[in-house]
Parts: sequence; structure tokens; C-alpha cells
Amino acid sequence: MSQNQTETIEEPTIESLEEDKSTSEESILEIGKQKISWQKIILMLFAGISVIVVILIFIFILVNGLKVIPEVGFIKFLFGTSWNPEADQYGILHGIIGTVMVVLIAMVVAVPISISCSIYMSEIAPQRIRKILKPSVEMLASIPSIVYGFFGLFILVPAVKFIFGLPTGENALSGGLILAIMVIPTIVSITDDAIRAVPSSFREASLALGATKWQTIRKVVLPAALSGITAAVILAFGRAIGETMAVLMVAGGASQIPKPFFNILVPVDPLTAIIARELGEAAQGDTQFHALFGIAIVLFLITFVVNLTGDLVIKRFTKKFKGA
Amino acid sequence: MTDTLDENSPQTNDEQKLELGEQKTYSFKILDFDALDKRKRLVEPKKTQKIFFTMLASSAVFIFLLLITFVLILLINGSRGISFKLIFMKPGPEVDYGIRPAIIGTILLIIGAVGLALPLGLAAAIYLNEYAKGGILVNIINQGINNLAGVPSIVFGIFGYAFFVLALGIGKSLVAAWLTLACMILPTIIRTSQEALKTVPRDFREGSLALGATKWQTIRHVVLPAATPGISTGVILSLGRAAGETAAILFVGVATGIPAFTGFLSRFPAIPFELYSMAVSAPSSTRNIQWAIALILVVLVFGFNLSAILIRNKAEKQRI
Amino acid sequence: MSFSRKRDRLVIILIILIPAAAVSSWFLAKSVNNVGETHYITIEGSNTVFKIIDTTYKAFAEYHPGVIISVTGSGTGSGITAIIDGQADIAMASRPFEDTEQIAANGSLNAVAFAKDAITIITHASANPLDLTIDVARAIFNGTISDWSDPLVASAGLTGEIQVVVRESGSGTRDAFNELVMGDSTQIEPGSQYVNDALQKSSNQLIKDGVAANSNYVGYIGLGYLDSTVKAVTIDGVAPTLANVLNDSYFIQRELFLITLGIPVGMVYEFINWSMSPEGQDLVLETGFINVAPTTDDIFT
Repeated sequence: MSQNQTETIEEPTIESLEEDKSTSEESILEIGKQKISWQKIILMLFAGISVIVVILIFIFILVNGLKVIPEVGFIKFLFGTSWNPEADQYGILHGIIGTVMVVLIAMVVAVPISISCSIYMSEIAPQRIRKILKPSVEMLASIPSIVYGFFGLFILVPAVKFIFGLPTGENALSGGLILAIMVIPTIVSITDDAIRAVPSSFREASLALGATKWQTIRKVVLPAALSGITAAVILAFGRAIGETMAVLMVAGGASQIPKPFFNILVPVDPLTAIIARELGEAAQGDTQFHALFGIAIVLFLITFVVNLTGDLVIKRFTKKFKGA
Repeated sequence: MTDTLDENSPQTNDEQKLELGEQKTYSFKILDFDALDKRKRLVEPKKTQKIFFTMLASSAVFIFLLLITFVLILLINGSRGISFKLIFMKPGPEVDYGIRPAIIGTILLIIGAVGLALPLGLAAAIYLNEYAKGGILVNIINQGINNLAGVPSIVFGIFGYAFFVLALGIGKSLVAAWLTLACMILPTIIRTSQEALKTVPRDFREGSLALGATKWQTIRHVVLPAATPGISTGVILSLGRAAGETAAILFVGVATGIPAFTGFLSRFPAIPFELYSMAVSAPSSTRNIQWAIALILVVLVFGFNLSAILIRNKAEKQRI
Repeated sequence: MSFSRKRDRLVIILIILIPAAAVSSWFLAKSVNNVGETHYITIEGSNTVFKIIDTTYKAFAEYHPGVIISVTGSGTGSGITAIIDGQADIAMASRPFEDTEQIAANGSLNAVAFAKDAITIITHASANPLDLTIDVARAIFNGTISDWSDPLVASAGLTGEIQVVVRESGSGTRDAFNELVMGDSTQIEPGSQYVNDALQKSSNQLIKDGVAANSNYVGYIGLGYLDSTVKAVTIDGVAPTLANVLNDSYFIQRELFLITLGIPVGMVYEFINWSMSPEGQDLVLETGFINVAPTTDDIFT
């Protein structure tokens, strides 16, 4: 036990308890019988500021983005197939498909690899390997997105072009792969934390019952860590959906809907790339400006749906494993 | 794949009430593992384990190789463009590309952004997790925080411009960038801190309270140290983002050609912006310099991350 | 309030100190004139124009020590927005300001055309010199001609599917190209739209990088970006050169602007004035663009 705890917790006699309470936690507020300490007030203040910030950003995006509905029309915006601000056309269907494609590719590639890696890292690897592996994965996280854009554009894209014999290597596949690499550290780190947080008593009990390590992992540890793992995946989803720089440089930016719709080898234009390219040029208060914020709202909605699904998954699975 | 665990458990006897004094003997077989009907099992659990462990290890190896590849690419390409002038001097008559101001600028940015976001985010996570348990309000707040994760950084940039630069009158400046970046990394810090707090077992808290500590003492001396590894992870993930961001700072005051610090309320340089400016307008003959700048940026961020990792390691050692 | 713990006291002090320090430094910073207002020039806007300004501001700073010039290439639109909002002194623009922008500025936007740009169609460096008519150029970019084996473009000697690379919507370069080559700057007219799978890049340099690295790419860039890594296409036999732009025989050209809110004064005026002077126009030439006012050569020959 750390030294701190011996400082705080002396032998609890009745007198010292009374004394302790009155000297170390002075309540500023007393609402009825509830004593609210200054610590709680400060916490509330800080938390309140955070919440206000979050709300502000929401409102900002909503206020500017909702204007697109009267100006362009809900259906025309979401399902229009032509994006041409010069001609007053603001259809983002190709953008939605582009985002969905690259994000799906990224998650399909990243999730199995990441979870496998973090299982290995936390349960199987010997300490000295883990000591090297964990910082390495986090080093991947410290590479900024513009540098990933470089990697993508100068290395991955020519490779994809060559391997598949395409007119261009900038397509959904390249975008998805770069995104996958970018979210791997997120999933690995958080999953690792989640797995390590499973109490060792779980594992010991399982092993004592004769299960092999792998069986233990599969049937005991992973389900217990499911909440954290899902959080990791959701966070990664969010990152993938919102990533700008890398897909801007790598996914092609062609305003088209792939034919057939699952063709990942043609250039696409994810929603974030559209915003990134054009927000610097759009004049504030323009319809184009509002349309770009409308795209941000759509991104919200996609993230929202993903989060909701994730939360439902968590709820359903943690129900099975209530209690230690 | 069938599990042998449930199929071959010892035979269970019917439930029977025992009369007082009566003894019942139960018969059972000692299982001979190898004699078990091999047709009923597809693979031995140990073999399964080996296969899967190999697969798991190979993903780890793959990711590690990925990192090595990137580092090599950065080093090889970057070393061609790196020079003393680049790192330690500012642009001038003799120096075409000097990013010393940008390096200082980025360091200032990181410190400010994380310095703002960490206390706020941590406090929010503590409050949401420890004090205001459950409830619809907390759920809505959590939903909102999660959804912010999907907002592209450039939207944060425009928000920063409209709110901090214009509405609050701070102007395009270092402070405005701090605030904007802090907003951007706030959701990550809140979310990961929340997860970190959740992983602290209830027994820790209950034990502490049972010993007479107050709620705040419990949080400060028991829960927080135990949650430090997870919180550090959140900081690590956010640091990289804040340092490498171009789009978020584009409209709130980043600029090239100026000294590192001309005032809290003045414009500032930053490394990712130098990279972006060069990628977008400098001739391809400067590609090596661009790789060198990328290398410097990565080294810088990793330096910050390393300290966070060391803090986390120390905290992990203290936690049992 | 008394506290038994020294640490709690420290925390309280910090919690009071940090905001106090922040607030006081805010006041301090606001009250101190930022290195003197006349000596701090902020320039924002087009990345195309940034290519020129990136060179000129350094030279100007040499002549005027003590002046700090901050340059940010964040797009023409955001540059104009910045000066309207009073957040920047000069906007770099690769297109004239629009009516909506002038209205937002209460009619006070002031544009100075300080350079010219020609838009060049480029192919891979390994291609044979290609000469196109405007109609053929349009056909390439709208996808009617889709393969390098097509007789109209076969003289370039390239193979494979043609991959078109263009600028993003809102770019001055794109606007000019659309108007002069595609036939409609709003791209509503049939045949004036780019082919479906045209890649969109957010800068001329990126288009050039793509064309230089891929033999089947074709794109357009500003003349200032032209170099030996790509090959320029001639239009009706006319090559995109400085001379041909100046004598108007190469007609895919447009002006570049420095825009201010109101008439420029002080250091801002100095900078714009200097950009129009022979030394400034020299630098315009040096960066590959076309001068609109006499250069030092012009004066002395």
C-alpha cells in the first residue's frame, strides 16, 4: 500500500473519526441535511464547464447546420447525388457512402487485429515483451494525422495502384487502411486497460476449475472486459468517422458513388474530406457554409447511431455478468 | 468447437433426501483424458490454445512491424532532409526552412491545451462517475460527449473561430488555440477517465469508506491513484492529437513567418502547419525537408508521451 | 477555515492562483500594445497566392526590420472572412471578391491585382509534347475521352485510362478553368462537369505531385507551380509562357489579388505598395507568376 494511505487512515477510534470529519472536510453548504464540501463544489464547477463546452459546440453546429434544411431541402441534401456549390447543388449522398465505406473497412481491419494484439499483450506475453509492445503501440498513436497522410499518399497509394492495376491508388481501400492504422492504438490501449482491470480472482477461479488459459480468456476475461472493449471500439469508430487529414489526402475526393456500391477500388469522398477541402473557401453565412455544417450534423448522427448500438451491446452483455 | 469441460463432467446422482445417520456412497469414475471418446472432441483444448495464441501473437507482431516500418520510413526519408539549420534556426536570409519557432510554438500549444483539458475533463469524469451516478441527465451528457468524438477537427476549428476568436473577443491567438484544442481533446479525456474510474473495484471505495475516510479522501487517495494508468492512457492519446492538429488551429491563429511567442493574444507558429503549408505549396524538391519536419514532430510528441508513459508505469507499480 | 492537511491548503492556493494568474496575464497582454499595431501585419488567404507571398514577405521584412509579418494560407474564402471580421490585415485571393462578401463588408473591400496567373494543363514528364484545342481539353476533363489511346490524345504517347485531377470547389483556379475551358464556371451546362471519378485536390502543388508521379494522370495548375517534374500542354499551339500571357495569346489566365478592408494605410499600405513596385514584381516573376506592373528589367531596358 502506498504511503499516502497510511497518512490518511489512522486507527479509527470514535473520537478521531469525529475529529477527522470536522477538520478535514469542512462543509460550505448545508442544504437540509446534505453537507456539500468545497471539493464537490469545485468538481461540479469544472464538470459544469466541460458540459457547457460540449453543449456549446453542439449548439454551434446545429444552429449553422440546420439552416441547410430550409435553404436546400432535407431530401435533396441527404439523398442528392450532386455536390456542386457553384451551381447551388448540395447533395451529400456520395459523401455518406464514402464515409461509410472507409469507416467500415477501417473497423473490419482494425478491430480483430487490435483486440488480438491487446489480448496477447495483457494476458499472454511475458513481461519483457509487454514492456516493449505497449509503448510501441502508443507510439503509433503519437504520429499526427498529417504524417499518416504522407505515409498514405506516398507509400500506400502507389502500392495499391500497382497491386490492383488501377488508374489511381487513391480510393476507399487506401483510405480505409490508413484509418485502420490510425485507430489501432486507440483500440489496443483501451482494450488493454479493460482486460487488465478484470480482477485476478476471475482468472484464478476459472483456472482452478480446470480451464485452459485460452478458455479462461474466451469465456471469463473477455466477457468481463466487454464494457471496456466496446468503449474502445466506439471511441475508435468516432475517431475514424471524424478523421480528416488522412482521408483528405488518400481517399481520392471524387464526387461519385461507386458502381457497384461496394466497389472499394475507386476514389470516394468521405464527408470529412468535403468539409476540410471547402470550409476554408466558403464564406460565412453562405448556403455552402450551412451545407458544410449540415454535413457535420450528419456526422453527429452517424456517430450517435454507432454509440447507441454500442451502449446497447454493453447493456445486454453486462447483464449476464453482474457481480463478482 | 466443442468444449470438453461440460461434456465429460462426473456423473451426477439424483437428488435424494438422506435419512439421519444414513450414509450414501457416490460412485464416480476417474476420467482418463486420453481415453475419452476422441470423436466427440474436435480439438484438444491445449491445441486450440496453441493455435489461437499463435494467431494472437502474430497480430501483435504485425502491429509491431507496422510501427517499425513507419519509423524506418520516417528516419530514412527524414534524415535526408534534416539539418542543424532546420531544427535550431528561424527562417531568415540564410535559412530557407527553419522551424525553431514552430517547435517552441507546438510545445506551448500542447502544454496549454492539455493543461486546460486535463483538470476539466478529469473533474467532469470524477463528478459524473462518483457523485452523480446514473440518472437521465448523466446519460444525456455521456451521449453528448461520445458524439463529439465524431466531429472533424476542422469543425472545432470553425467553432473556435466563431466562439473564442470573435464572440469572446480573444482574437486569433495562442489562447484561442489553447481553448479550441482543449475542446477537441476534452471528450477523449472525459471518456477515458470515466472508463479508468470504472475499472477501480468497488471494494477499494467501500474499504476506504469503511475505514472512515470521507468521499473526497477516498477519491483522492484511493480511487485516483488506482485509476491513473487509464487516465494517463487518455492523456497519451490526446497529446498526439493536439500536437499534430492542423485543421483545428487553422482559423484560430496559426501562422508562419513569425517568432515563437509574440504574446498570449498574438498569432503563433506550429509544426503541423509548417508541414501543411509546405505540402500544399512548396516544390516537391523539398520533400526531404517535409519528411524531416514530420520526423521532428513525431519525436516531439513521443517525448511528451514518454513522460506520460513513465508516470503510468510508476502508478501501475503502486497499484497491486 | 482550518485544514489539518498541508496538501489541501496547497490545492486551494493553486485553485485560486491559477485562474488569477490567467486573468491577470490576460489583462496584461491586452494592455500591452502588441509590438505596436503598425508593425504587425497579418496576411491570410489563398494557398496559390501564398506561394508568392511566402517569398515577398521575407524580402519585405529585410527592408523593414522590426516588422512582424504573419502569413497563413487557409483558403481565399477564409482570408476574406478574416479581414471582414477584422482579424487580419490583408487577404490573399486567387479570385475577385464576390458580391455577398462585399455586402458583408459594407462595401469597403478593396482589391489590388498584384500578379497574374496562367492556368496550365499538365501531363506526366515522360509524355510527348501535347497540343490541344479547347474542345479536346474539355472532352478530356469531362470524361468523353477516357483513355490515352484515343486518337485525339495518342500523340502524347501515354498508356492506360486517363485519370483526371482537379481543384476543389471554391478554388479560384478551378473557377477560372471552368469558365475558360469547361465552358461554364458553375458547371451546369451539359459537358461542363468533370468526369465522375475526377480526383479533387486542395492545392496546385498536390495536383502537380499527383501528375508527376503517375503517368496516366492529367490535371491543371497555376503557372507559378510549373516545373520540370511535369509537362505543360499547349493550347492551339500557344505555350503557357510569361510572354504569351503578357501578349494575351495564351488566354487561360486570371488575376491574383491582395484585398484589404478599406484603403490600406501604414505598414499594410507599404507592403502592398512594395508588392507593386519593380522589386516586388521581380519577386512575382521569380516565383513563376506573371507581373502586372513593370519589373526592374522593364524599367532599365
